[in-house]
Amino acid sequence: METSVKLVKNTNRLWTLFKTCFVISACTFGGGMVIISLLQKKFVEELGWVDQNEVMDLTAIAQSCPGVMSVNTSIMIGYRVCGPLGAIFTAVGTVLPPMIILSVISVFYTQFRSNPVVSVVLQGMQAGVAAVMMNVSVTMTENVISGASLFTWIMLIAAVAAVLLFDADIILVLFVCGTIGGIHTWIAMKQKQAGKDGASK
Amino acid sequence: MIFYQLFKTFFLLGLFSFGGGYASMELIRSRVVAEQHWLTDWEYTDIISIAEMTPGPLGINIASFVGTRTAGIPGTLTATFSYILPAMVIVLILSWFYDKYRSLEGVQGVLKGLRPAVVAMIIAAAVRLAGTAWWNGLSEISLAGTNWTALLLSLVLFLLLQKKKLGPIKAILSSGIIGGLLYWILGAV
Repeated sequence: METSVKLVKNTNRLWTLFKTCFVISACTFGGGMVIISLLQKKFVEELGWVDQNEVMDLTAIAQSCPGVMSVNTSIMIGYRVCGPLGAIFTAVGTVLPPMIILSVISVFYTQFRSNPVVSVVLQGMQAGVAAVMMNVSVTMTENVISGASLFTWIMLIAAVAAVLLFDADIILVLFVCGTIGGIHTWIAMKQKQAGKDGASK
Repeated sequence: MIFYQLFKTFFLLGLFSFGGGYASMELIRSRVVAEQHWLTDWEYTDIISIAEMTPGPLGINIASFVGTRTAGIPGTLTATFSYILPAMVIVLILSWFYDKYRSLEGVQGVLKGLRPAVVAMIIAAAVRLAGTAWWNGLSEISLAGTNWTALLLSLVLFLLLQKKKLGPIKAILSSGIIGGLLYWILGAV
Protein backbone atom coordinates (compact mmCIF):
# COMPACT_ATOMS: atom_id res chain seq x y z
CA MET A 1 0.00 0.00 0.00
CA GLU A 2 2.67 2.41 1.06
CA THR A 3 4.84 1.68 -1.98
CA SER A 4 1.97 2.40 -4.34
CA VAL A 5 1.36 5.75 -2.64
CA LYS A 6 5.05 6.50 -2.99
CA LEU A 7 4.93 5.44 -6.60
CA VAL A 8 2.05 7.82 -7.33
CA LYS A 9 3.91 10.60 -5.57
CA ASN A 10 7.02 9.87 -7.58
CA THR A 11 5.13 9.76 -10.86
CA ASN A 12 3.63 13.13 -10.00
CA ARG A 13 7.05 14.50 -9.20
CA LEU A 14 8.53 13.20 -12.44
CA TRP A 15 5.67 14.76 -14.37
CA THR A 16 6.16 18.09 -12.58
CA LEU A 17 9.90 17.96 -13.26
CA PHE A 18 9.33 17.29 -16.94
CA LYS A 19 6.56 19.87 -17.32
CA THR A 20 8.44 22.63 -15.51
CA CYS A 21 11.61 22.14 -17.52
CA PHE A 22 9.66 21.93 -20.77
CA VAL A 23 7.76 25.17 -20.14
CA ILE A 24 10.80 27.09 -18.90
CA SER A 25 12.93 25.92 -21.81
CA ALA A 26 10.21 26.71 -24.38
CA CYS A 27 9.72 30.26 -23.13
CA THR A 28 13.28 31.32 -22.49
CA PHE A 29 15.19 33.27 -25.03
CA GLY A 30 18.72 34.37 -24.39
CA GLY A 31 19.77 31.22 -22.61
CA GLY A 32 21.96 30.33 -19.67
CA MET A 33 21.48 32.43 -16.59
CA VAL A 34 17.87 33.35 -17.38
CA ILE A 35 16.83 29.69 -17.33
CA ILE A 36 18.67 29.11 -14.08
CA SER A 37 16.91 31.95 -12.30
CA LEU A 38 13.56 30.56 -13.47
CA LEU A 39 14.45 27.03 -12.32
CA GLN A 40 15.47 28.48 -8.99
CA LYS A 41 12.15 30.34 -8.62
CA LYS A 42 10.13 27.22 -9.33
CA PHE A 43 12.07 24.53 -7.46
CA VAL A 44 13.32 26.57 -4.51
CA GLU A 45 10.69 29.23 -3.88
CA GLU A 46 7.55 27.53 -5.12
CA LEU A 47 8.04 23.83 -4.54
CA GLY A 48 10.82 23.82 -1.95
CA TRP A 49 12.33 20.65 -3.42
CA VAL A 50 15.87 21.98 -3.47
CA ASP A 51 17.41 24.61 -1.22
CA GLN A 52 18.93 27.90 -2.30
CA ASN A 53 22.55 27.01 -1.55
CA GLU A 54 22.24 23.77 -3.42
CA VAL A 55 21.15 25.58 -6.55
CA MET A 56 24.19 27.84 -6.30
CA ASP A 57 26.49 24.83 -5.96
CA LEU A 58 24.76 22.96 -8.76
CA THR A 59 25.16 25.95 -11.07
CA ALA A 60 28.87 26.10 -10.27
CA ILE A 61 29.24 22.43 -11.17
CA ALA A 62 27.16 22.91 -14.31
CA GLN A 63 29.51 25.66 -15.43
CA SER A 64 32.57 23.48 -14.89
CA CYS A 65 31.14 20.70 -17.06
CA PRO A 66 31.18 20.62 -20.83
CA GLY A 67 27.89 20.96 -22.66
CA VAL A 68 25.06 23.37 -22.08
CA MET A 69 24.84 24.98 -18.67
CA SER A 70 21.03 25.14 -18.49
CA VAL A 71 20.69 21.47 -19.46
CA ASN A 72 23.36 20.50 -16.95
CA THR A 73 21.65 22.38 -14.13
CA SER A 74 18.25 20.87 -14.86
CA ILE A 75 19.82 17.39 -14.98
CA MET A 76 21.25 17.92 -11.51
CA ILE A 77 17.99 19.23 -10.10
CA GLY A 78 16.20 16.21 -11.55
CA TYR A 79 18.79 13.92 -10.00
CA ARG A 80 18.42 15.57 -6.60
CA VAL A 81 14.65 15.26 -6.63
CA CYS A 82 14.08 11.82 -8.17
CA GLY A 83 17.43 10.13 -8.83
CA PRO A 84 18.64 9.04 -12.30
CA LEU A 85 15.10 8.81 -13.65
CA GLY A 86 14.52 12.40 -12.57
CA ALA A 87 17.68 13.44 -14.40
CA ILE A 88 16.42 11.86 -17.60
CA PHE A 89 13.00 13.53 -17.29
CA THR A 90 14.44 17.00 -16.75
CA ALA A 91 16.99 16.54 -19.55
CA VAL A 92 14.33 15.48 -22.03
CA GLY A 93 11.99 18.25 -20.88
CA THR A 94 14.67 20.89 -21.39
CA VAL A 95 15.86 19.61 -24.76
CA LEU A 96 12.49 18.90 -26.36
CA PRO A 97 11.29 22.47 -27.15
CA PRO A 98 14.37 23.66 -29.07
CA MET A 99 14.61 20.25 -30.73
CA ILE A 100 11.05 20.42 -32.06
CA ILE A 101 11.38 24.04 -33.22
CA LEU A 102 14.66 23.47 -35.07
CA SER A 103 13.49 20.23 -36.69
CA VAL A 104 10.49 22.07 -38.09
CA ILE A 105 12.73 24.90 -39.30
CA SER A 106 15.08 22.33 -40.80
CA VAL A 107 12.29 20.74 -42.82
CA PHE A 108 11.08 24.06 -44.20
CA TYR A 109 14.50 25.70 -44.42
CA THR A 110 14.82 25.56 -48.21
CA GLN A 111 11.40 27.13 -48.81
CA PHE A 112 12.01 29.51 -45.92
CA ARG A 113 15.41 30.58 -47.24
CA SER A 114 14.25 31.05 -50.83
CA ASN A 115 11.52 33.46 -49.78
CA PRO A 116 12.87 36.85 -50.96
CA VAL A 117 11.94 38.74 -47.78
CA VAL A 118 13.41 36.08 -45.46
CA SER A 119 16.47 35.93 -47.64
CA VAL A 120 17.33 39.63 -47.36
CA VAL A 121 16.51 39.67 -43.65
CA LEU A 122 18.78 36.69 -42.99
CA GLN A 123 21.50 38.30 -45.03
CA GLY A 124 21.04 41.50 -43.07
CA MET A 125 21.31 39.56 -39.84
CA GLN A 126 24.80 38.34 -40.71
CA ALA A 127 26.16 41.80 -40.00
CA GLY A 128 24.37 41.75 -36.63
CA VAL A 129 25.73 38.33 -35.73
CA ALA A 130 29.24 39.55 -36.53
CA ALA A 131 28.67 42.62 -34.32
CA VAL A 132 27.39 40.52 -31.42
CA MET A 133 30.38 38.20 -31.69
CA MET A 134 32.79 41.14 -31.74
CA ASN A 135 31.10 42.50 -28.64
CA VAL A 136 31.27 39.15 -26.84
CA SER A 137 34.93 38.78 -27.84
CA VAL A 138 35.85 42.16 -26.43
CA THR A 139 33.96 41.57 -23.18
CA MET A 140 35.40 38.10 -22.70
CA THR A 141 38.92 39.22 -23.56
CA GLU A 142 38.71 42.07 -21.04
CA ASN A 143 37.49 39.57 -18.52
CA VAL A 144 40.26 37.07 -19.01
CA ILE A 145 43.14 39.55 -19.27
CA SER A 146 42.19 41.80 -16.35
CA GLY A 147 44.99 41.15 -13.90
CA ALA A 148 46.18 38.20 -15.95
CA SER A 149 49.76 37.00 -16.09
CA LEU A 150 51.98 36.97 -19.16
CA PHE A 151 51.27 33.26 -19.19
CA THR A 152 47.56 33.82 -19.91
CA TRP A 153 48.42 36.32 -22.64
CA ILE A 154 50.70 33.84 -24.37
CA MET A 155 48.08 31.07 -24.16
CA LEU A 156 45.42 33.38 -25.58
CA ILE A 157 47.48 34.64 -28.50
CA ALA A 158 48.89 31.19 -29.26
CA ALA A 159 45.41 29.66 -29.27
CA VAL A 160 43.97 32.33 -31.60
CA ALA A 161 46.94 31.94 -33.96
CA ALA A 162 46.71 28.15 -33.88
CA VAL A 163 43.05 28.16 -34.85
CA LEU A 164 42.97 31.01 -37.37
CA LEU A 165 46.39 30.87 -39.00
CA PHE A 166 47.37 27.25 -38.72
CA ASP A 167 43.95 25.64 -38.84
CA ALA A 168 44.76 23.59 -35.74
CA ASP A 169 42.17 21.15 -34.50
CA ILE A 170 40.11 22.87 -31.83
CA ILE A 171 39.74 19.83 -29.63
CA LEU A 172 43.52 19.53 -29.59
CA VAL A 173 43.86 23.21 -28.65
CA LEU A 174 41.35 22.84 -25.81
CA PHE A 175 43.06 19.68 -24.64
CA VAL A 176 46.52 21.25 -24.60
CA CYS A 177 45.31 24.40 -22.82
CA GLY A 178 43.37 22.38 -20.24
CA THR A 179 46.41 20.22 -19.53
CA ILE A 180 48.72 23.22 -19.23
CA GLY A 181 46.21 24.91 -16.90
CA GLY A 182 45.94 21.78 -14.77
CA ILE A 183 49.71 21.43 -14.45
CA HIS A 184 50.11 25.15 -13.75
CA THR A 185 47.58 25.00 -10.90
CA TRP A 186 49.15 21.81 -9.56
CA ILE A 187 52.59 23.42 -9.44
CA ALA A 188 51.13 26.52 -7.76
CA MET A 189 49.44 24.31 -5.17
CA LYS A 190 52.70 22.45 -4.54
CA GLN A 191 54.57 25.72 -4.08
CA LYS A 192 51.93 26.97 -1.66
CA GLN A 193 52.21 23.70 0.21
CA ALA A 194 56.00 23.97 0.30
CA GLY A 195 55.74 27.58 1.50
CA LYS A 196 53.43 26.51 4.32
CA ASP A 197 55.74 23.67 5.34
CA GLY A 198 58.69 26.06 5.33
CA ALA A 199 56.80 28.55 7.50
CA SER A 200 55.76 25.93 10.04
CA LYS A 201 59.39 24.85 10.49
CA MET B 1 26.47 4.93 -41.67
CA ILE B 2 24.84 8.28 -41.02
CA PHE B 3 23.57 7.52 -37.50
CA TYR B 4 27.02 6.50 -36.37
CA GLN B 5 28.48 9.66 -37.95
CA LEU B 6 25.88 11.82 -36.20
CA PHE B 7 26.46 10.06 -32.90
CA LYS B 8 30.23 10.31 -33.12
CA THR B 9 30.30 13.95 -34.20
CA PHE B 10 27.77 15.27 -31.72
CA PHE B 11 29.03 13.17 -28.83
CA LEU B 12 32.48 14.66 -29.38
CA LEU B 13 31.03 18.17 -29.68
CA GLY B 14 29.06 17.69 -26.46
CA LEU B 15 32.17 16.45 -24.68
CA PHE B 16 34.29 19.42 -25.71
CA SER B 17 31.93 22.37 -25.65
CA PHE B 18 33.21 24.37 -22.74
CA GLY B 19 32.26 27.94 -21.98
CA GLY B 20 28.80 28.16 -23.52
CA GLY B 21 27.28 28.80 -26.91
CA TYR B 22 29.55 31.54 -28.22
CA ALA B 23 32.66 29.59 -27.32
CA SER B 24 31.52 26.35 -28.95
CA MET B 25 30.62 28.07 -32.24
CA GLU B 26 34.06 27.60 -33.73
CA LEU B 27 34.30 24.01 -32.52
CA ILE B 28 30.90 23.13 -33.97
CA ARG B 29 31.85 24.82 -37.24
CA SER B 30 35.05 22.80 -37.50
CA ARG B 31 33.14 19.51 -37.35
CA VAL B 32 29.76 20.24 -38.90
CA VAL B 33 30.86 22.59 -41.70
CA ALA B 34 34.54 21.93 -42.38
CA GLU B 35 34.75 18.21 -41.68
CA GLN B 36 31.34 16.67 -42.41
CA HIS B 37 29.96 19.30 -44.85
CA TRP B 38 26.51 18.95 -43.38
CA LEU B 39 26.10 22.75 -43.64
CA THR B 40 27.70 25.53 -45.65
CA ASP B 41 29.21 28.59 -43.97
CA TRP B 42 26.18 30.61 -45.01
CA GLU B 43 23.73 28.12 -43.61
CA TYR B 44 25.74 27.96 -40.43
CA THR B 45 25.51 31.73 -39.97
CA ASP B 46 21.77 31.56 -40.75
CA ILE B 47 21.28 29.02 -38.00
CA ILE B 48 23.23 31.13 -35.55
CA SER B 49 20.82 34.00 -36.29
CA ILE B 50 17.82 31.70 -35.99
CA ALA B 51 19.19 30.18 -32.78
CA GLU B 52 19.39 33.62 -31.18
CA MET B 53 15.75 34.17 -32.01
CA THR B 54 14.40 30.82 -30.82
CA PRO B 55 14.62 29.28 -27.36
CA GLY B 56 17.34 26.80 -26.59
CA PRO B 57 21.12 26.72 -26.68
CA LEU B 58 23.10 26.88 -29.92
CA GLY B 59 24.56 23.37 -29.71
CA ILE B 60 21.16 21.76 -29.36
CA ASN B 61 19.73 23.92 -32.12
CA ILE B 62 22.51 22.89 -34.51
CA ALA B 63 22.23 19.22 -33.52
CA SER B 64 18.47 19.18 -34.11
CA PHE B 65 18.73 21.06 -37.41
CA VAL B 66 21.51 18.89 -38.80
CA GLY B 67 19.98 15.66 -37.48
CA THR B 68 16.64 16.36 -39.14
CA ARG B 69 18.25 17.41 -42.39
CA THR B 70 20.52 14.38 -42.71
CA ALA B 71 18.30 11.60 -41.37
CA GLY B 72 14.79 12.79 -40.48
CA ILE B 73 13.32 12.41 -37.01
CA PRO B 74 15.56 9.47 -36.00
CA GLY B 75 18.48 11.68 -36.99
CA THR B 76 17.19 14.53 -34.82
CA LEU B 77 16.93 12.26 -31.81
CA THR B 78 20.36 10.71 -32.42
CA ALA B 79 22.17 14.03 -32.89
CA THR B 80 20.46 15.87 -30.04
CA PHE B 81 20.77 13.16 -27.42
CA SER B 82 24.33 12.33 -28.44
CA TYR B 83 25.10 15.99 -27.84
CA ILE B 84 23.82 16.03 -24.25
CA LEU B 85 24.93 12.50 -23.28
CA PRO B 86 28.57 13.23 -22.33
CA ALA B 87 27.56 16.24 -20.25
CA MET B 88 24.90 14.19 -18.53
CA VAL B 89 27.37 11.49 -17.49
CA ILE B 90 30.01 14.01 -16.38
CA VAL B 91 27.50 16.15 -14.50
CA LEU B 92 26.22 13.16 -12.55
CA ILE B 93 29.73 11.93 -11.72
CA LEU B 94 30.82 15.41 -10.65
CA SER B 95 27.80 15.98 -8.45
CA TRP B 96 28.50 12.66 -6.79
CA PHE B 97 32.12 13.74 -6.23
CA TYR B 98 30.98 17.10 -5.00
CA ASP B 99 28.73 15.48 -2.41
CA LYS B 100 31.66 13.40 -1.24
CA TYR B 101 34.48 15.92 -1.22
CA ARG B 102 32.89 19.36 -1.48
CA SER B 103 35.88 20.60 -3.43
CA LEU B 104 36.54 20.99 -7.10
CA GLU B 105 40.04 22.45 -6.96
CA GLY B 106 41.49 20.14 -9.63
CA VAL B 107 38.57 20.81 -11.93
CA GLN B 108 38.95 24.52 -11.33
CA GLY B 109 42.63 24.33 -12.33
CA VAL B 110 41.82 22.74 -15.65
CA LEU B 111 39.08 25.31 -16.19
CA LYS B 112 41.48 28.16 -15.51
CA GLY B 113 43.69 26.83 -18.29
CA LEU B 114 40.72 26.47 -20.57
CA ARG B 115 39.61 30.07 -20.10
CA PRO B 116 42.10 31.67 -22.51
CA ALA B 117 41.40 28.88 -24.99
CA VAL B 118 37.68 29.52 -24.71
CA VAL B 119 38.20 33.23 -25.35
CA ALA B 120 40.45 32.35 -28.27
CA MET B 121 37.65 30.25 -29.76
CA ILE B 122 35.22 33.15 -29.43
CA ILE B 123 37.66 35.53 -31.11
CA ALA B 124 38.24 33.03 -33.91
CA ALA B 125 34.48 32.62 -34.40
CA ALA B 126 34.04 36.41 -34.45
CA VAL B 127 36.73 36.83 -37.10
CA ARG B 128 35.25 34.08 -39.24
CA LEU B 129 31.68 35.37 -38.95
CA ALA B 130 32.81 38.88 -39.82
CA GLY B 131 34.62 37.38 -42.80
CA THR B 132 31.43 35.69 -43.97
CA ALA B 133 29.35 38.83 -43.49
CA TRP B 134 31.79 41.32 -45.02
CA TRP B 135 33.57 39.39 -47.74
CA ASN B 136 31.69 36.13 -48.26
CA GLY B 137 34.36 34.27 -46.32
CA LEU B 138 37.91 34.88 -45.11
CA SER B 139 39.51 33.49 -48.27
CA GLU B 140 37.76 36.12 -50.38
CA ILE B 141 39.11 39.25 -48.70
CA SER B 142 39.57 42.13 -51.16
CA LEU B 143 38.78 45.81 -51.19
CA ALA B 144 36.52 45.51 -54.25
CA GLY B 145 34.64 42.54 -52.82
CA THR B 146 33.83 44.28 -49.55
CA ASN B 147 30.18 44.42 -48.58
CA TRP B 148 30.22 48.00 -47.23
CA THR B 149 26.60 47.86 -46.08
CA ALA B 150 27.35 44.90 -43.85
CA LEU B 151 30.63 46.37 -42.65
CA LEU B 152 29.07 49.69 -41.64
CA LEU B 153 26.06 48.01 -40.06
CA SER B 154 28.31 45.72 -38.01
CA LEU B 155 30.45 48.60 -36.78
CA VAL B 156 27.46 50.74 -35.77
CA LEU B 157 25.82 47.81 -33.97
CA PHE B 158 29.11 46.89 -32.33
CA LEU B 159 29.37 50.41 -30.91
CA LEU B 160 25.77 50.27 -29.68
CA LEU B 161 26.37 46.87 -28.06
CA GLN B 162 29.56 48.11 -26.49
CA LYS B 163 28.51 51.57 -25.30
CA LYS B 164 24.71 51.54 -25.05
CA LYS B 165 24.29 47.99 -23.75
CA LEU B 166 22.02 47.03 -26.63
CA GLY B 167 20.83 43.40 -26.23
CA PRO B 168 22.12 40.78 -28.70
CA ILE B 169 18.65 39.73 -29.89
CA LYS B 170 17.69 43.35 -30.58
CA ALA B 171 20.99 43.90 -32.38
CA ILE B 172 20.52 40.92 -34.68
CA LEU B 173 16.83 41.70 -35.31
CA SER B 174 17.48 45.33 -36.16
CA SER B 175 20.39 44.30 -38.35
CA GLY B 176 18.01 41.94 -40.17
CA ILE B 177 15.44 44.67 -40.71
CA ILE B 178 17.78 47.55 -41.60
CA GLY B 179 20.21 45.41 -43.59
CA GLY B 180 17.34 43.58 -45.29
CA LEU B 181 15.76 46.88 -46.33
CA LEU B 182 19.07 48.24 -47.64
CA TYR B 183 19.79 45.08 -49.65
CA TRP B 184 16.25 45.18 -51.01
CA ILE B 185 16.61 48.81 -52.11
CA LEU B 186 20.12 48.39 -53.46
CA GLY B 187 19.16 45.16 -55.14
CA ALA B 188 22.33 43.59 -53.84
CA VAL B 189 20.95 40.09 -53.30
